[in-house]
Amino acid sequence: MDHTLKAVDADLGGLTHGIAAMGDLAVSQVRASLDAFLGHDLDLAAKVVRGDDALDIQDSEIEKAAVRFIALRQPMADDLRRPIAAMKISMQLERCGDLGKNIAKRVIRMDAATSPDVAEPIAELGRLSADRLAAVVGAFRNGDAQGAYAVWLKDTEIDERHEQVLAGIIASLDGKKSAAQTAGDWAHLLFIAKNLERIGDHATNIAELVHYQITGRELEDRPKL
Amino acid sequence: MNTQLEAPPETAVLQLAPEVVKLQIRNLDFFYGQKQSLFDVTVSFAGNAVTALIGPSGCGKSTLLRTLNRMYSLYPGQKATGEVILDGDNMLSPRVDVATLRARVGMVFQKPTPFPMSIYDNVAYGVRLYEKLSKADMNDRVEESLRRAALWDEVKDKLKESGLGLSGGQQQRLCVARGIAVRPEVLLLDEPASALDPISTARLEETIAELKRDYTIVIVTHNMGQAARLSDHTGFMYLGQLVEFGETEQLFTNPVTSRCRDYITGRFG
Repeated sequence: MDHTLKAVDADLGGLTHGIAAMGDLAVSQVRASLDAFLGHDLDLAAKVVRGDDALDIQDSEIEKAAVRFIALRQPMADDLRRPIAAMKISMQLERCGDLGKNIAKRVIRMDAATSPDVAEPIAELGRLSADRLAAVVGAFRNGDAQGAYAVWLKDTEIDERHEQVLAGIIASLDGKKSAAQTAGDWAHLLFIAKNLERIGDHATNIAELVHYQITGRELEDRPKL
Repeated sequence: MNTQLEAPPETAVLQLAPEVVKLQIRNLDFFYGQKQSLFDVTVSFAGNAVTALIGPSGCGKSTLLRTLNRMYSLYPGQKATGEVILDGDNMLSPRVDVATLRARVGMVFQKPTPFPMSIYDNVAYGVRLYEKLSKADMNDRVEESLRRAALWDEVKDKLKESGLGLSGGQQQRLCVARGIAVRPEVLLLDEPASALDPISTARLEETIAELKRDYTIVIVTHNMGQAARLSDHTGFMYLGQLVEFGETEQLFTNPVTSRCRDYITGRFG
């Protein structure tokens, strides 16, 4: 049912639209950073670094809109949860953008393209995290608590994949696999993998927030490895 | 974990633990002549706590309040059936003397209603109906009541002046002082701050928050912020039914029924 005061619906619609748009941008930034990594595409990496400013601006605008909504509309119940969740989700998305930017910066600093046998498992981890982020942004956009819950349940898959990637990198460093990276590049790869795993964590955090916003109930006992 | 969004119930009334209940309403119906305006209301109010009743105009919240001290009996054709149990006694029973009941269950109305007499006599008037106090004891009672109503410091030097000369907010606190001077157990407040400015409202709210240490308070208010700030429990009424009753924090953050949610979020058509 719509609010009697139409401006409340307009404000809430604006918040939802803002978060969804920010989510789409965060997903595209993460995917672009992954593409830049896989192709050792320095131009694309630079574009990702520059593109992060837009996420920071959107985060700031969402926070202002949420504070304004609380101050002027004095919301209750689910209406109150929405600006609170918006501020928290916005912060998570902004962090995802930071992590994507960090990956892009590392790509720029790396001495060479990563050999496919090392790069592909990292890319798989990245695609998994980006897909989870996209799924939870979709759940937010559609008000889908079940969709958010499904993302939340799968957090350990990303953790497992991250462990495998780390094991692979360590095996390569031990010389059990052939690779032609410098020591610096190996360090960057470790951080890139960690960043991608963290993006998965943020997707799970967002899933909890979306579920809470819709149902008023917190998801507890997050699955752990 | 079950995350399915279950269909919300039509009504949800929290049952309080028996040991905290001061006032209990059971199967209450109310009639203005032939027109029924309360339907089978059953709810308990906790002692030393504030309970707020909210709902749109005409939902029955003031009617419910007026049954608690049988205020309706002043008007012909109005009838309540069911039970209003105060510490085990049914206040609706004809065997209960109305004057005694109203000494146990005091009431403050929407508009300040000071008597056209001095501030002192406004407070002492009700006491004189029920008790024979010495001058010194009456002075103590008046001071105690005005202090509890957070008005003493503002009027202590002009007790002989007319109560009508006070500001609206002061007049309302004078009515609270008059209400508590007879030492009731329950205090009913019918939109007591609706005619007050924000500062007077804040003072009255602080007074109510202090008074709950000694009294059971039931307040009808259209101001949901006030209900949220002041009360421990809140009841939402609609079309003569108690739709939802629960802890105030729960009701205002995550109401159970869709009708209550729609009302407090301003989605009511």
